[in-house]
Amino acid sequence: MNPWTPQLETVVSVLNGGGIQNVNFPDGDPSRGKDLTLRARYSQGTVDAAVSLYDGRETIPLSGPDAEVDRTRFGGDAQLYYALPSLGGGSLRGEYYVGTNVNADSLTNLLVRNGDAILVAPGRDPAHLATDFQGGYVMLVQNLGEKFQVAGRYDWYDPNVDLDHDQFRRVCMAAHCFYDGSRASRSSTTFRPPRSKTGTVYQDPHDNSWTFQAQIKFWEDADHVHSNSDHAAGPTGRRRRAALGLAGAVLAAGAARRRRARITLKGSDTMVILAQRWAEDYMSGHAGEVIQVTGGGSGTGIAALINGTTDVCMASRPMKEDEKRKLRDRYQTMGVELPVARDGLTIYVSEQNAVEKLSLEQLRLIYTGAVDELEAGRRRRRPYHASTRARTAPAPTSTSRTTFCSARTTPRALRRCREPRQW
Amino acid sequence: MVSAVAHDPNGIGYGGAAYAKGVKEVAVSKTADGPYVQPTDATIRDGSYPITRYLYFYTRTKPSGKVKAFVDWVLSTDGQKDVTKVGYFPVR
Repeated sequence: MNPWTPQLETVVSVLNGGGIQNVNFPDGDPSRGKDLTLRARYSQGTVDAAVSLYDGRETIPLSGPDAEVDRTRFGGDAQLYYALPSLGGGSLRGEYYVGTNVNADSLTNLLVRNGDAILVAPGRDPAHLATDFQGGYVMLVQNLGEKFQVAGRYDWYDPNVDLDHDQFRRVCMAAHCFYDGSRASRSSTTFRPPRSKTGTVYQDPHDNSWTFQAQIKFWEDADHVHSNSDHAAGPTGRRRRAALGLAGAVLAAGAARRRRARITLKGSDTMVILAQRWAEDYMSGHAGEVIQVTGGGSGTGIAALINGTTDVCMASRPMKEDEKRKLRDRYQTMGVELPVARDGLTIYVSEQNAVEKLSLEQLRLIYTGAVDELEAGRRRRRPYHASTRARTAPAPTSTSRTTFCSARTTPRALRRCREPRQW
Repeated sequence: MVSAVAHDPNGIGYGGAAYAKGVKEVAVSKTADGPYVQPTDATIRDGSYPITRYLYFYTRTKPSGKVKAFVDWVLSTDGQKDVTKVGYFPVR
């Protein structure tokens, strides 16, 4: 496992106050000042940590002068991803936040109605309409092999830290079963035990409930088994089939059973021919096994791996860090990289040419058309005619200088020749 | 393209392993100072030839069941023979 490059992301935004929740939205700027949000996230491989800040004011419209209170929030969150030997990936996340906000209990207790007028009760300070709050959660998600996942979450929220007995606490448990891992059908059940103490305002009607969800996603029709190469993988060569239903779990199970058990490989066009040969040889030696090979490019294959629409991704380059993070965020796994072959690009010249050796820089210059002749040893200068297989133009002749030289036909290898393994 | 280069004393081409008549492979180095390395089975496999790359399989989790059986076969002697047949180089 290679340590990924540390990354710091920051987001700053300035907002027009209370936003759509405010009664004055969108007619007026509900708070005279602007609200500020900040977030900075640091991630390094399997660990992420972030701090967030919201700083603003909220206007409470009253009969007479409006009350204006602080609306602030400061929080920190962190997550850690790991892999257990026999169970698979998991993640531990936590968040804690503190701040000041309008308190629903305070609105009830501090405001009085007088006919249509709403006023602060005599002798009360309108600044107390907002209270300090704090809250947070801790969540653990653990894969159990490819098909199962369990999760537990404890969260709490204290709307007024100066008062006891108004806290909100909850424990949630969830179990997920992925009927067909590569097709991302899934179901989950959620159970919420009672919270410790109930306040008058934050009554949760879903307490002590359990929920069952079934979800079916669109999937690609894959009946054109391993006959589709890179060309057929375009939008026209692709048929999609959708299944929707209320009794989703039943349908999903039925659909999964009807489809042939098979292994799907998707990705690099460079590897399609090789993979098709592997598939043919493997299927001929293993009756009943079906291997489906689809091209589209390394990026497409990696996206399919992240979407869960392929079992194996073929890639002619290492995964990028943002791709690894997507995979990690979605499956709590770090992915498994298996080098299965090595590719080498050879450069050749006519036997009559005196050139025996070239540096990557010289090759880059030739193929980008920057030069069309080079000193060949101590021999006289000879022009180069760079040929590429990307062109189907007539064969070059010695009278056509730099016939095939253009940036478009440069092998990608040479545009980035300083990193020989990155082409 | 090999024949186009073979008939053009000033031509240059690139591709997979090309053992065709009339052309010769050029030794390549990362820097102008060398070392210049000829593309051979050994230098491509050990990475000393500069223009090489790995071809990868990626899976979400450690392969198991049918996928593991297939991947194991791909990395076996039989599977790696196919690599050579299509012009790439084995990793095992």
